[in-house]
Amino acid sequence: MSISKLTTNGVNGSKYNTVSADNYYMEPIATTLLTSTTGTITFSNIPQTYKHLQLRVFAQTNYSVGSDFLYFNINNDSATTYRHHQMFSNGSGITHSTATDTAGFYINRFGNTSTGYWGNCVVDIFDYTNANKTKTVRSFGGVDWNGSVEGAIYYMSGLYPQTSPITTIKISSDSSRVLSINSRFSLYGLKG
Amino acid sequence: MARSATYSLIASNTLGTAVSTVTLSSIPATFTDLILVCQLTSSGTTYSSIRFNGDTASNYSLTDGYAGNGSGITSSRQTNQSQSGAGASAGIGSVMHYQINDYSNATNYKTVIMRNANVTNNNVMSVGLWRNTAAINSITLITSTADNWSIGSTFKLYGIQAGNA
Repeated sequence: MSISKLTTNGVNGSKYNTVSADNYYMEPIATTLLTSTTGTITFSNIPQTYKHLQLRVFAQTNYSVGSDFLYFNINNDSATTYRHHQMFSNGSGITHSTATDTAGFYINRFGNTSTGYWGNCVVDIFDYTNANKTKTVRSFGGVDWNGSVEGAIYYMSGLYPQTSPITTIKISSDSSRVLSINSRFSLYGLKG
Repeated sequence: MARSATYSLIASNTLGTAVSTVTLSSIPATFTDLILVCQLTSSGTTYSSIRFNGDTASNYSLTDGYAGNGSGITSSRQTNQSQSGAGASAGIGSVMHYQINDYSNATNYKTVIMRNANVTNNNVMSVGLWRNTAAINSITLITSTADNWSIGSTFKLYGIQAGNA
């Protein structure tokens, strides 16, 4: 959480100084608000000047069956095997699972056009410029379905087992589906 | 390209008297997302609910998962409520963290995700739905029991501003 105000004790503890702290801890990089349906959105040429990244998502797909995952792909790499691990609660139980895929790892579940429900999630991408570590991503979010187990709250981790700095992030729906108009994807840089 | 700061404090309320309802109103529509951080104490166990724009119709629902005080984990959901309930606060204190993405769009239903940390009652993660397309201009937090939030409880609302398209 950003610091908005700093308060420091004076020498004898009886005096308090309040300091305004517009600290530029978190800065917007780019946003995509869909005005037409599409299967993929891409953030490319991501600046390498931050410590961490945060992706904030409000999205929906046209998946007719129910709630839908999105893929998170890094550097347009579809040869590496990504892994995700999820813990989720859907109102009937709390459980966990893991899976691998070369298209990317999953981030959360989102709503669909037939219900008008939308998913929210916040994805934290840590130490994304480091060229010596594999990349781990944390995602928190979900979608509610007004009483159906299609709705769930998710806490997920994603692994990209490569050490290259992240310069491109691609979010995509399953190949048979598209993202809805008004879906929004916003990327931020966080200073270390 | 020049960058600008985001994560701006919109409103802050520190209770000077114990109350059971807090409303943050006149929320500007100029941000992309909202984050609400509440640090709460109360004399007993209270469960907090959230309501938008004063809407008391049955437009709210919720799915959550929570860990009790060492006694197990539970999953639950609520349907067609007049407010979206989640979270617990007790005498020792509770931190609730809400995130409401794309709150100012006037086209779509709104979704809120929440985490609650409480060492004596429940640690909660939840997702709530408000089946209303209006832009959110006020947020009301309500205790679910007769207990009030104690003096010193804080409510801080932040705005997140996205970058250019």
